Parts: sequence; structure tokens; C-alpha cells
Amino acid sequence: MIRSSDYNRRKFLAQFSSVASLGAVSSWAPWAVQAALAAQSPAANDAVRIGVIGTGRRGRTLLLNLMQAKGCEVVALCDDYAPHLDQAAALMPKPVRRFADYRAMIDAGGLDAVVIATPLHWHARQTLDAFDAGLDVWCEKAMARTIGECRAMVEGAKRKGRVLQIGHQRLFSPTYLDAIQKVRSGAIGTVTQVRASWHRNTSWRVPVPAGSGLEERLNWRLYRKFSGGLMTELATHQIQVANWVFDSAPERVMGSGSICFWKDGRDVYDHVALIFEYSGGRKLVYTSHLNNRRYGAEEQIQGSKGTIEPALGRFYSEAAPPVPGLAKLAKDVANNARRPIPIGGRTWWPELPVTTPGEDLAWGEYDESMLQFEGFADAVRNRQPLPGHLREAYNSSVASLLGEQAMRSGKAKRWDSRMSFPA
Amino acid sequence: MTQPLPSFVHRFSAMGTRIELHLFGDGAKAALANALQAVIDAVDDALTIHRPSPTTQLNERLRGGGVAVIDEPILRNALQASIAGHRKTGGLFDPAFGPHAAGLAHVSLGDAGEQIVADRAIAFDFGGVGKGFALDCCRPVLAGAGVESAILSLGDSSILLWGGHPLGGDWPIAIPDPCGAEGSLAELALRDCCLSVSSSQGAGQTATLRPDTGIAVSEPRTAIVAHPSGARAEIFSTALLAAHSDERACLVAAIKGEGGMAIIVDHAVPANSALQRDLAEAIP
Repeated sequence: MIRSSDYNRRKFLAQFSSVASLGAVSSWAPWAVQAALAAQSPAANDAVRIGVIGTGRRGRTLLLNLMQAKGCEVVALCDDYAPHLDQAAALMPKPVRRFADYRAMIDAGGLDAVVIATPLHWHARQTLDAFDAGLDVWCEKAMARTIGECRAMVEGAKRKGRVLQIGHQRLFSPTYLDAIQKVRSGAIGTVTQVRASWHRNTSWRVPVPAGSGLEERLNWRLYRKFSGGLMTELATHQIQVANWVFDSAPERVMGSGSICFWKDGRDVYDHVALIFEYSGGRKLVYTSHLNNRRYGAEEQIQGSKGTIEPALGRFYSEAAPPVPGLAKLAKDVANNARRPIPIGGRTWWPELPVTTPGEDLAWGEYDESMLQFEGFADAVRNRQPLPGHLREAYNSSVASLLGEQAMRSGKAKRWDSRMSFPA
Repeated sequence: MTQPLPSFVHRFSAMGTRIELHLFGDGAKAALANALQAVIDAVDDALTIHRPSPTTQLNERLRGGGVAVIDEPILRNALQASIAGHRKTGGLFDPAFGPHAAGLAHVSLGDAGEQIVADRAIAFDFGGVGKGFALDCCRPVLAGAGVESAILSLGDSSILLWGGHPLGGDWPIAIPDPCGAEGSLAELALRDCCLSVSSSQGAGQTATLRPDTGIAVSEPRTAIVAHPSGARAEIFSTALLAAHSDERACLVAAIKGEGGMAIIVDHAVPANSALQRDLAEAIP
């Protein structure tokens, strides 16, 4: 039986990797092209042995993706919090090795690569340790807690000749790929602004067993020593989209952050508003908070000829509606009537939001998380990282951390040469 | 039963506004519409100040005054047309602005338009005259295609009426009242000409400045000019909008002398008009 997801997957891969599209797409999404070609290769079935470090909620989601991705075989699980490890093990179709210490898992051998989904402050250490053990790494975004650590991860991968891939699934999403294709083709004209937001109405706090002393371990996202909060856990995704649209990293960022609503002992902001400035004065205007979800997570790519809202899968043209007087003329002529043409009058109208429904972005549904892992497996097998991918991830992580610095200092922060992607 | 008249409608955005073309008769084809769009896009590319263009390059070069060479023929022609219009209107039309308005008075252009000299900081915004200029650039394309009847609207206020009405006779144009009053401000019968309508709807609702003072036109007023040339129609309608009452007669005479016609309407915004309501909603 052919499932609709199989059909969509085949259709997408065939369309995306067709000769006609390869040339153009290779210039702005070479990682996705390589992943799409790899996913259709017979070698894709040669499994890469993977150990998953961190089996909390996100780690378990990744585990489910890995189990569906071609060429990925999860052979070990690791978490120092037993309930999470048990929950992950229960998802596996057959028993795998279990570890409470990631070092022990690495030292036990039998792995080609690790997938890291631990709290942010662990990413750099665990990545570098995996490299030292000769393993390749797929790491959840954001890359690391500090800009220096982000650099160290990239430099470590280069020095050791290892694959390092970061979890930015939008870089593989059919909808986002279509959005960027439209941007690159000029379909929405000159893009000067991306407006993005990630709004939730939740404390973002997970329950902690009473008296367990696990508050900081389980709610690590709420504490600065472990996480950049909204910036590293959410904004990185959308900064990555803006960087992709503008084909560069931001030059400067300014912002304001505050603990506005959830005054519950956390020390990361629950409300951030930032402006990331790109060359030529182009901007990403970003907000994220935790006390209203009306607009959810979305990006608005705003061009002179149209708007793309990839999260909603919508494309809007700036094309103006027909001139009423000329519509009347056309109708009159069709009816063989010659009547006065009302034109040349008022040209000023209130500038209210346009509420036309727009058009669907192409390619529809396909689980991009599978493709990113298939691309990773191919990179591990062939010792060839997905081209361009790590730079995109690095730039978005560094920009998110720079934004955090701007808010903490109350000063605009400039992207300087020390932050550039390591050569 | 008579066959319906062939027609073709084309809409697109350019020059910061909506553009709509209606072609009638045997020449009403997509190829012609696309050719006309290409002409308008080329004018837009040369004259826009909303993205890098020869005009923005010129403005950069003249930020402190000085000399600039103009390589781009469309820009050169637009400058020549603007300077001619500035002279003809006694300075009431002026697409150049500097620190103290009255921009073109401080500019001289070489005979062939290849070099411009400004004795002070200056910048150009061709706005409406650019649209009129684009209409003029479309004329040869329409003539070459042999189409007999067409109407081309740039932003609803700069209109080329090519030939006559597709069903015969002149184009019956009814200018709506910009203040929202019922009925038309004026009804005209036109053929083979360009129409420019400029309006000020009161203080804060116009982009037109009086060049000698730099003060925005604050009187509710509409200037309607029909002229063989689109650029000249724009130049004169802008000048009429800015003109004091004692300056109008001279302008109207000049328009008539060039085969055109003009109507000027001074009007108050009715207290309960739709416009008044919109203004009330738009202004906090």
C-alpha cells in the first residue's frame, strides 16, 4: 500500500532533485540538494549506527524521526534522568544499549555518530568529546551557550575531519525551500524586511517532582547559565530563515528583553523584541513572548511585490485590485454600452491591512526532519558534510547569542570579524 | 449577433503604484501588453528612488552639489523634460529638492543632457512626472502595434487615452470628486491624449510642495490637465495645484497653446463625506 506520505516524499524528492531545479537550487540550498539526492540513492539503506544523547521531550521526537529516516539506526540511548531514558527505550522496536553517562556510551564503541539533544550548555562539551572519539555529530540547535563555544565546535569539526550538523529542519522543509525559491526568483521583488515572532501563552515550565532538587536540570531553559531562553531555544530558527532570505548574517542587533509576565524565579527573559540589521539597512524585526499565542510562530518575508508567510504556507502578491472605473469600462464594452468612465479621482485610501487569502506555497507536506537525518547519514557514510549547512546554523546561533548580549547590555551589538564563520 | 470586440487586460505593479492596461480591437494581444510593461519597467528602473537606480546614483553624486555625468538615456530625457517644464511653469513644477526647496533653479544641464551641474545639494524625485514620461514612452509601442483603442492607467491619476473609445467616439471620462461627494467633478470627452489629475485634499493630505517656499499645498484643490504629452500633463497639473490664483491664467494659456486643456476646482471637504470619515479614522 502506498501511503500519502510516501507519495509526497517521492514526489518532493523527484521534483526537488530534477535536473531542471538542481542548478538553481544548488546555489541557495546545496545541503538540501545533496540530501535529496542521497535519499534516493541505494546506499541510503546502509545504516549509520547512532547513539542518542538526551532523551527528553525533544530527544524523543528526534528518536521518532530517526526511526523513519532511511539509513539511520539508533543503537544506543543515553540520559542521566532515568524517567526520560525509560520513555525513550519504550519507543524502540527492539532493545538497545542504555547509558546514564554520555562518556560511557562513547567509550563503549559501536557507534558511527551521536545525536545530541541535551540542555544547551552541554552541546559544545559533548560535541567535542564525540569528535575526540572519532564520531560524527548531529546536534540540536542552538549550537552552544556562547559564541566562543560555537566557534570551537566548528573548528573542532574541521580539525578532526568530522561531520557536524545542527538541527535546523527548516533548511530541508519543502515549504521553506519553495519560499526561498520564490525570494531568489524575484517573485516578491526586493525584500527589505522579515518580521518574525514566536508567541506562546505558557510558562514554558515542566513539572518537577516535589523535593527532587531537579528544578534547574528539568527547567534548564529558564536559567541563563544553561540557556539563552527564547533566543537560543526559539529565535534561532527564525533568525536562520532571515539569514537565508537575506543571504547573509546580520551586521548589527539591538533589542530589549524583560521578565514581564512569568515572575516565577526564572532569570531568562519571557519577553524579547529585537531588530537585526543586515547590509543595506534590511531588517529582521523579531518578537517572542510567553503570554499571548494569537500570532504563534510565523515569519513574514516582505518584498516590494509580495509577502511570503512560510509558516502558514502562504504567498501574497502585492498586485493591486482592478481599477473600478476600468472594470466598469470593460463590462460596458462587452455589453456594447458606451458610458462615462469614472477614473482620475481620489487615489488616497486608508492603509488598512490587506486581508486577501493569498496562494498556497508549493510542495505541501513532507517531514523535513527525516530528510535532514538522511542527509546527515549520507554525510557520515561519505565523510562529506552537507555543503553550506553548518555556516547557516553557525550564523543563526551566533546571531541569537549576539541578540541576547544586546538585550543584556542595553546596547546595540555589532557582528565583528571575530564572529565570522571559521575558515 | 455581433461578435464581441477583442480585448486584453493587463495589470501589474510598477512605479510604486498599480498599473492597468486595456487594449481593444485586433491588436489587443498579450505580446503588446508585455512590451508596454517592459517600457514602463525600464522607466521605473531608471527613475525610481526606492531601490538602487541611475536616479539614486545621481542623487548620491549631487549630495553636496557639483557635477555629474548622466549616462542613462531615460534619466537624461526625464531631466530635460523636467527642466523644460520648470521653465514653462515659472518654477511651479520642480521635481528637485534641496535644503530650501526650489531645486531646479540651482541646476544646469548640458545641451545634450549628458552632464548636470548643481550649485548646491540636490536630489530628484520624479514621482508623477515619471509616470507621465512613461506614458509618453509607451506611445511609439502602441503606434507600432497598430492598435486603435487603448487606455493605460498609472495609479489611476496618470492616464493615456489611445485613439477613441472602442465603440466609437471620444473617451467619455468622468472625474470622480476626490472629496467623496456624489457625482462627478468634471466630465470630459477626450481622444488621443494623456490625462493627469492632481489633488490636494487639505492640509497633511498632499505630497505637492510650493517650490518657492517648500510649504505643502494646503488648500483642497483638484487640477485636471489633458495634454498630448503625458509628461507635460503631469508638469502642468502639478504646477496648477501649487499655483496661486493669480498664476493660473498664465498656466492655462500655456496648456491651451500646446493643444491641451485644464480644469481647476477648489473645493471644501464636505463634513460628512466618506473622505472626512476616512481621514478621521486614519489620523489619531
